[in-house]
Amino acid sequence: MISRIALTFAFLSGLSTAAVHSGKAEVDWLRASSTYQPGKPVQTAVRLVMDPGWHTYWENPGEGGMKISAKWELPAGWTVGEIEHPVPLRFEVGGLVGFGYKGTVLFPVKFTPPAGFTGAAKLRAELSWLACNDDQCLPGEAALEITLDPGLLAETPEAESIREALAQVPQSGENSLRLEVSEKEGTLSLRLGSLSGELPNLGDYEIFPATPEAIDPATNIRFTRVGAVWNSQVPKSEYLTQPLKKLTLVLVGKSGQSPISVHWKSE
Amino acid sequence: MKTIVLATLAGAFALATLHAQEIGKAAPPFAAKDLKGESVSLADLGGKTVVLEWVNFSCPFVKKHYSSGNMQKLQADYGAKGVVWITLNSSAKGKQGHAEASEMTSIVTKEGSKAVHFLMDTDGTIGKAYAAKVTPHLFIIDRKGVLVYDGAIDSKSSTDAADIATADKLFANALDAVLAGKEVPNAKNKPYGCGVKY
Repeated sequence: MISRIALTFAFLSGLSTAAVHSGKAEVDWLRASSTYQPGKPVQTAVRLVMDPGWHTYWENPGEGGMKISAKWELPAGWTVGEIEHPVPLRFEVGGLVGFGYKGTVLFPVKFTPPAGFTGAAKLRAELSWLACNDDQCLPGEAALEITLDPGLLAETPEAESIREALAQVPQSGENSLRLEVSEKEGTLSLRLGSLSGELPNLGDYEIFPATPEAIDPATNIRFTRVGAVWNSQVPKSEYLTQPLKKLTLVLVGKSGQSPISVHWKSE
Repeated sequence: MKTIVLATLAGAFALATLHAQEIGKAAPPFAAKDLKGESVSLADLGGKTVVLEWVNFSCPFVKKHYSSGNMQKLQADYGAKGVVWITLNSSAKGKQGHAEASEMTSIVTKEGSKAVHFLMDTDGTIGKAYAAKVTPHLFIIDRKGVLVYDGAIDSKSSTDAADIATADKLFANALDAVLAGKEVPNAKNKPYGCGVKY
């Protein structure tokens, strides 16, 4: 009952169902429910507890660094969603700006069993991340396993922390906010307007570029309100050598507002 | 301390963030003694194609390319074509990848480096002049002393050596183009790796 992709990679020895310490982090894999129902998504999260002084990286790591990645080995017919990244912190090491996490971070990820699946399901992950502090970088890797039994929803004690982590994953603001981007030499002009309802006060948000190689990571993105829209001029990433095709910004509330992502795509 | 780096640079000043050199412009000059005590000056390398490779042997991305032999093969293959390959280490004292010259000499030997020169840039002067950001970060300077490539070794930002075979060989393709006198594809791209430990 092993899926085809699973056969294409060699598994690390020491597959673990408990927390593993590697790459300056303790890592484990949490289930929101100990059970699954055929055809319905199951919420899980990979948890990293970074050692003091160490950080790992966001989906846009900034200059250097690397986001967490996973190779999954799933029972036949099971599918996996994207690893979701909660809102990051900004840090600077040796003049290089990065985005990522210190302390505890949970990366939510959903799995969906096929409609007719029966029996206990073993899910396996080979995780790989990078941990850095001010002086060095080290690789982290762990091979983890979880088991899900068939049955009605049975919340685990970890369900609450997974919910909290999901609340820190930006939700798309595409129904209420509209981002427009234009390019001029070394600058990107950003324009954020409202599609419906009130325009948020961007002064209350910290703004991160989720799309790598678009905006210079060193930029502190600040918007100025001009009538019904917010405008910002930001320096392009030096690696943006082709016209920009898409941009996602993440708006992180400074006083607990839910994080929002806004998207732009070229016509 | 028999190998003290004597780096003289135009326009080398510490910046809060690093500002890159422009492709198509003269590469920043530098002069230093290599690990063997030989003087290396960019000005004296006119007429030759020069590669600068930033290294930190403890960085997992660097290990990917040295443990697989990929970096040494590039050094040897292009060395045979007359390219002057210079590896630089800009790790500050006490930071990852730093070693005293004598220890670095044995590490370089153990790693099987085929670079022509290895420069200790412990104070980061050359690294900052080039805005070397990560390890590995690669630069190509053409026969006229013009910076023609600033970027990654390949397209797969991972620490897994198994990815080397399937990655786009951004650096090698660029160097092939330089040697063939053709326009350099992807002359500027984002290098991946550990931040340089300035």
